[in-house]
This record gives sequence, structure tokens and C-alpha cells, in this order.
Amino acid sequence: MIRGLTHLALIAFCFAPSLTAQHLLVPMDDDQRNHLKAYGLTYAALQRTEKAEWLLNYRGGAFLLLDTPGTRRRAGLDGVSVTPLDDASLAAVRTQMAGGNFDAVPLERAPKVAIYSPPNANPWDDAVTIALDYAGIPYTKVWDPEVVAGDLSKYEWLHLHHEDFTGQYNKFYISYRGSPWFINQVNRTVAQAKQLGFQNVPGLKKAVAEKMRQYVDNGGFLFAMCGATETLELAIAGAGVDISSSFADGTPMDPDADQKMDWTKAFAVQNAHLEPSPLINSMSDIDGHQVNVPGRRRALGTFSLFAFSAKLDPVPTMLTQDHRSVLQDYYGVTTSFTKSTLKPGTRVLAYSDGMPLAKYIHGSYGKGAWTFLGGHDPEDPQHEVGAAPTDLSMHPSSPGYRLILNNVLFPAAQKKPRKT
Amino acid sequence: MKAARGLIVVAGLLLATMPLDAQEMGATSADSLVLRALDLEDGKPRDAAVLYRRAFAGNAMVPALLGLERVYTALGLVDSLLPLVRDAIRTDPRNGVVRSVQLRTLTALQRDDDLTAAFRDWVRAAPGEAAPFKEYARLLLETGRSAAADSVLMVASRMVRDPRDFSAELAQVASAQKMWNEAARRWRETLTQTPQLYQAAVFALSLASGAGRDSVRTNLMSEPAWLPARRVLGSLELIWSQPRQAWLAFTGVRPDNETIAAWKEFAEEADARGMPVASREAWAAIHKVTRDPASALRAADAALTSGEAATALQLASTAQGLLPAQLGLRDAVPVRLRALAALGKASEALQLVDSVRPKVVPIQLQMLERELMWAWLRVGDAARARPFVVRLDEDEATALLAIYDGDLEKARTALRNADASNTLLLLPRALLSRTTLPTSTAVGAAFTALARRDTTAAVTQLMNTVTEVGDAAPLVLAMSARLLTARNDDARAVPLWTRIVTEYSTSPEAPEGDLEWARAALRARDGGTAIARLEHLLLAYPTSALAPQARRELDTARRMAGTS
Repeated sequence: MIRGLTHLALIAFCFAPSLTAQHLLVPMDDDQRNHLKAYGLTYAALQRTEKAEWLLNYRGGAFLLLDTPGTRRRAGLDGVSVTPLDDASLAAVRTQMAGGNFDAVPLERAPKVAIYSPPNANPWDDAVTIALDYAGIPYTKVWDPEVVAGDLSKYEWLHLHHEDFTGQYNKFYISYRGSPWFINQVNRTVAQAKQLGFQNVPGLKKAVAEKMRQYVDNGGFLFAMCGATETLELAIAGAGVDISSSFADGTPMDPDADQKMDWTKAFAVQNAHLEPSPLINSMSDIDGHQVNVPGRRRALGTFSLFAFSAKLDPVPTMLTQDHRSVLQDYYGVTTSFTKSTLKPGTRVLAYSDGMPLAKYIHGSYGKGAWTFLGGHDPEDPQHEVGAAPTDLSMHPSSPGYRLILNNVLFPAAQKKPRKT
Repeated sequence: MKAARGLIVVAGLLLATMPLDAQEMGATSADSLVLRALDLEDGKPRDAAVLYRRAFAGNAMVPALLGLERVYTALGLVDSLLPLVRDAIRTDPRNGVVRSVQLRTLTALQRDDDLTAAFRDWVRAAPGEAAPFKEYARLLLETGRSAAADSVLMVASRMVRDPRDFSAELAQVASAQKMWNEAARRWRETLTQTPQLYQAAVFALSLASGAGRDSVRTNLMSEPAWLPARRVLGSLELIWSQPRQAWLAFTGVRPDNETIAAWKEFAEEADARGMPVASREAWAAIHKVTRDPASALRAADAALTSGEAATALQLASTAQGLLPAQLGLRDAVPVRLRALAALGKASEALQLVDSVRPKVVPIQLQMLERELMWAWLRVGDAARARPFVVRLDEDEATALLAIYDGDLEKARTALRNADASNTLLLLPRALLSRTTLPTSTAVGAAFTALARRDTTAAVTQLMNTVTEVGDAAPLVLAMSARLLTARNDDARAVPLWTRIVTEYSTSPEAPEGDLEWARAALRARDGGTAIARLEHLLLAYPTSALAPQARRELDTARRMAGTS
């Protein structure tokens, strides 16, 4: 009998917070055990149409969720640290936030996410797919046929990874032309281009790039990483120019291509110079690290996130929420962005320490917005073709992967006009 | 210019014609000042500084400057070095030690602009030399500026006579930048010229993780098989806790004298790191090549520690055949006996002891009988073990025998002083700490059956004790369930795990009950039950050490069930 009473008391104690708390605070500082799954927890709450808030700069960019059994259950299953908050405690948090560089942004809906990815892509080859899978955020894969058919309008958030929109297969032709995986990729892409009515792969990819530009112009959010950033810009600016080498379209690059580029439609870049040689594994001088060109390659260092005013600049603040401000850099086909090639309106969110390079940039375009993050995989600095996949259960608090997930939740935020 | 050279020649001649005593006197005096200062460094750094200053003015500029660097650092007066360094550079502009002190001092003072200027000045003073670049790059690396160090070395390799001079520094830069492919390649290159940097290579590359380690492995294993590279990889695998991989690092290396020396170093390192699996392989390989009985014995010992008693027995028997009779009795027979005991071959152990009994002295016989006692205890033969246990009076043996006898009170008393690391006593200790029962025939019978590897009887006897052992009931249930699970008897194990979870939900065994129940469900392709059990584990026991494993298995279960 006594043991029974003790058990009852224990159970009552364990569940006591759920009887009194109205909110759950999801800390995102070093008290959090699983930062990445915390984004999934928040996304799931939004999917259930529960209200949520992003407490910018507060405890590493904490989330405030309603204290519901569903949220508690998922937090427990995912190992996400949460703290119950009653109204009085929440009021104290808000008072503290009112006096400093903090702001609370309401999150209103779970954005519909699309990932531009070939149907046969390995899931581990794309950091965003890895991040979304690990965090438990659902997404739909789209590829050229869907984009050409205009399906992008169904989604609020579009991710691109290392696709080469110039149609040159990231110039892997130079090193991997005999590899079966490369031969397969070329054969599939050529067949796809013909099936969709394009003469060659560069033609198809430029059309896809234009659809993506229109998607952002009409209010979509675009998040690109690695080589997709640079080549998307080149494809948009070089829409009417032959910027591809002969191995891609049968004709050499237009010798005057550099002068013919129209940068007015590009998102972030202007006045960049194309790499004219088909034998040099570089697209242009947009990328500052040039990882695949031995004589030009810059060593990896660190990159630092800028701090923004949460009340005046909520969007850049959201995109840079992290529990670390200096991060280990990592290579990609495009690792960074040369500052001298960036348009004046481009917001630099992170810069490569000690170098004139931006790592992470953002901007508005038409009714939408875009964000570019250089590099391939934040937890695999040297990423090489065929390297072992990243297992995020070994990096549940990866500060680099947090940047990706910030972008996923950013479209969920209630839009606030920028005050500067 | 000619006049100046003439003056130098005259000065040289004068010096050469000075009485030898005077030259020696100056040197001796300055040297003795340095020696006295060295003695004072620990307790009286200020007094040491005074002596070093005097020596600096004498003939011991370099050792005095190095001494001053140490004592001024200890006294927090690093900036006082700068005027002295300037004087020293005026005296000997190409002296690498003095220049290095200057760079270190400016680094310590965080005077980056002056540091860069000093480096450039050194490069101008010593054209074509590698030392300025090496020292500057090393300091940049130490202060975490690997990108800058890389740039310096890039420039250096174009300016110096032999770019290979920088292979070690470039290897360090690549390591600091976590470019593991390049780092491994460069370290391999460096070791061809400077094999003594072996430890530096191991330290730098040991920091690789994940895919980086694979890059290191690929590079160091690349053909042709080259001993220094393989030796580095062997050490790395030990550091990365991959003992089986570690020995494979030596695959394909020609077994000459140099290789055998490297194997010995590796085996000693593996032993020191507590990785007998790796050391057993190495000692056995050494024995195979050299036919050295000592190596066979080391291999046997390592095999025993790593739980490979059959291998140990074979190696120890071989060693005995190669050793002189008396040495064989002394060194090989105890190992054979321990191996036989570990294999549960108590009768053979007895035969072995009987065969050597007339040839050994009493103290040796006592040691052998001790091993024999443990052989009987391991196989649960209390009657044969008893006379030895009584005679030798060891707490561990007394406790185990008392358990077999069902005398829990006596076992409890003996365990108080017993060696806590004895693995045979882990379960008895766990059981006795959770029950106050003074005697139990069933517990004795259960542990005897366990020792005899009679799992059916052990489960039966354990289940007989459930009602009498009080708080230890979930432990006894778990012991039974583990035995059944190991025999793939999920049909009988699952009800026991279920009882633990439902009837003893606050016991330490409850999370394990959930996990094992889930695993049994997964084996039965019942994803739903597996998910329910794993979710229960995570929600009911969020701080359990099994929670991370449960999360991974929950993902598997969800994939099987087609949910997310």
C-alpha cells in the first residue's frame, strides 16, 4: 500500500509541470541536447496549427511552443530539451527580452518544402535532405519535369543543392569522365533534356533556372547551397549566351560571353567573370575558394556570423540564430562568394575570417527572398565524391546545420517589414 | 668594403693569436654564469635574470637569451627581451635562434605588425633559407591562424632552395585545416626524410574523425607498403580504439629486422593502451618470424586477456616446447593452466598440475593450485574446488564458493574485501546488494548451473528464486531473460521482459526490458510493438543510458513500419 502511494506521488510529481505550464520553452543555447530536432519539433507544432514564437537572440534563438501533450511527447522521443513556462515565468522572459537585442517573431504556418533533386540522388549527398530527414521535417522532391511544368508555385520553400545550372555537370567531366556514375548522370540528363523538348542540357538547365527566378519573383523563398548558388546566377545572367563548354553542348563557350552577361536579373551577383577554359574545374570568380583548382585553392579557415538587431532586422537575425558565432568552414564546389562580385543590396550574413569572402548571403527579389550558403556539408569539411555519408545523430547540435534549418523555418514567420 | 674586410681579417688574426687561456676564461666565465642562472631559475628568477644579463654581455649570448626568454616569461616581463634581441640581431643577423626568440616574443606580445616586419627582415637577412618561414608558419599555426601559415608556406616554397624543407610544416598546416587527405599524403612524404617526426604525425592525424579517418587510412595504406607510414597508421588505429584494424595496418610489409622492431613497439603500445587483441596479433607475428618463445608467451598472455583462451593455450604450449625445461615450467605452464581454466577444461588442468607436481618447488605448486582452484570454480565444481579454497583462503574464491553453496550471508561477508574487478563476481555482487536473504538453495543451484553453462537449468533455478529475493526479483528476471534471448528463445524471453516492464517499472532493469522487448518485436517483424516499446522507454526513462540507442532503433522500427 505504501509502495503504491509512493508510486502515485512520483507520477504526480513527474507530470506536475504539465498541469500548470502553458508554454514550453525550447532553449537553443548549450542547454539544448538536440538542436536539430528542435526545429522538427517546432515545425510539427506548426503543422498541427499550434502557435509558436521564435525568440530571436534569446538563449541561442529559442522557440516558444504551446504546452500540449503532442509536443511534450515528441520532445521526449526526440531528446529535445524543453522547459515548461507558466504565465508568470513567460512574462519575466518577455520583460528581459524587451530590454535588450531580442525580439519574438510569431511563427504561423508550416511552409511546404520542395527539394530540387534528381530522382536517383543518394539522400546523403545533400546536406538539406540530411537535415530535414534528421529533424523530421517533411518535403517533396521536384526535378526538371515538375519545374518546367510550373509546379514550383505549390511550394513556399525551395531548396537547391549542387546542381549545375550551366549544364556542365559541375565540370566533373575533367576528372570523372570515365566513372560509371558520371556516365550514367550524363546519359540520364541528356535523355531528360530531349524528352522535355530541349536541344541540349545547358538549354534545359537555363530554362529551369529561369523558372526558379520567376518563382522567387512571385514570392517564393529559395535556399541554395554549394554549386547551385553560383551556377544559378550564371545561368540567369547568361540566359542568352553560350556559357557552356563543348563537352556539354557540342560548341565551345562564346569567346565574348563575359561581356554579354546580363547581371540585372541575377539575385546576388554582378560583374563576375566566367572561367573560359573547359579544362579548369571552376565556373567563375564568384567562388572564393576554388577548391578544385590546385593553384587557386584557398585553405579553409573559419567563418563568423554577423550579429543583427533583432528588432530592426528580424530576417537576417532569424537566419543567423545559432549557439556559435564562429564556425569551422567547409568546402563545396562553391565554398564562398567573392565580395567584389556581390550586388550592393546583398546582405552578408557570414564572412570568411581574414578573407574578402562572404560565406552566407541573403536578399529580397521581387516579392520573394533568397539565401545562399556556400559549401557542401557543414560536418564534412573536405567532402569528396564517394565520401561516407554524414550521420547527424553524431552531430545533433551542429551549428552549421542549424543555419540550414533556420532557413526552413524562416518562411513560417509572420512577415514584418524591415525597419532599416 | 675592402677596408672593412681587412679589419675583420685583422681582428680574426688578433683573436687567433690571443693566449688560449684568455679565450677559455671568457667562455668559461659566461658559461658558468649560465649554469648558475639555470640553478636559480626555479626559485629565484629575478636573480637568474641578473646572471643571464651578465652572461649575455659576455660570450654566451644565445644561451643567455634563451634563459632570459624563460625567466622573463615567468616574471611577466616579456617585453624586456626586445632590446636585447635587437642587440643580438645587430651582432649576428643570421642567427636563427635569436630570430626565433624575436618572433616568439612578438607573438607573445600580440604585436602582429612588428611580427610580420621581423619575419620579413629575417627573410632579407637570410635569403634562400627555410628557417624564417618555418618558424613564422609554426607560430601562426600555434596561434590558430592556419590559413595564414598556409600562405606563408606557399610563398616559401617558391623562394627557398629546396621546397621539400617544408614538408613537415605543410603537413601540419593541412592537419590544422582538417584537410585529412592532403595531411596524410604530406605526412607520408615528410616521414621519408624525417622519420623521427613519427610522433608528430601520429598526434596531428589522430584528430581526424569520420570520413577524414578513411582518407588517412587510404593514404597511409597505399602501395607500396612502406613501414613508417604503416607504423603511423597502426598507432592511429589504436588511438581511435580500433584494435583489430590496427594490426591490419602492417599488412603487406616485408618482415625484416626493422619491421620486427616496429612490431615490437606496436605490441608494447597496444599493451600499454589495454588493447590485447592488437598486441596478441603483433606478438604472434613476431614469434612466427623469430621463433622467439618470449614473444609466444606475450602473445598467449594477450590472447588470454582478450578472451581467446584456445589461442593462448596453443601459443603457451608452443613456447614451452621452445624454452629450457625449468623456464617452461616457470613461465609457460601457468599460462597454459589459466587458459585451460578459462576454457573450463578443469580435468586437463588437473592432469597438467599432476604432471609437473614433482618438478616444481612448493611456492610454484601453490601458484599452480590456485589456477586449478579457479578452473574448478569456473566450471561450478564446488566439491573439487573446496579443499583449495579452504587452504588458500582468498576472498574472491570464498565468495564464489559460498554462492554455489547458497550461503549468501557468507558470500556477502567475503565480497566486502574481494577484488571488485573480478568479472566472475559481478552478477553475485549485483544480486547480493539487492537482497537480504541469508541463504537460498535455489540461488546456489542457479549460479552453479550458470557456471556449468547449463542455461536451461539456470533459467529454471533463477525463476525459482524470484519470489524469495525481494528487490532483486527484476534482476533475476532479467538474468533469465538474457539467457533466453541469447538462445534465440524470444517466445520465453518476451514474457519475462514484459513482467519487468509492467511489474517492476521503476527497477533499473525496466529500460532494458523495453529495449529487449522492442528488439524481439523487430525480429518478429512487428514494427508497431517495437515502436510502442521504444517510445515508452524514451518517454518513461528519458535519462536512461539506453535512450540514445533506443532513438536509433526507433528510427529503424519506424522505417520498418513505414511511419515517421
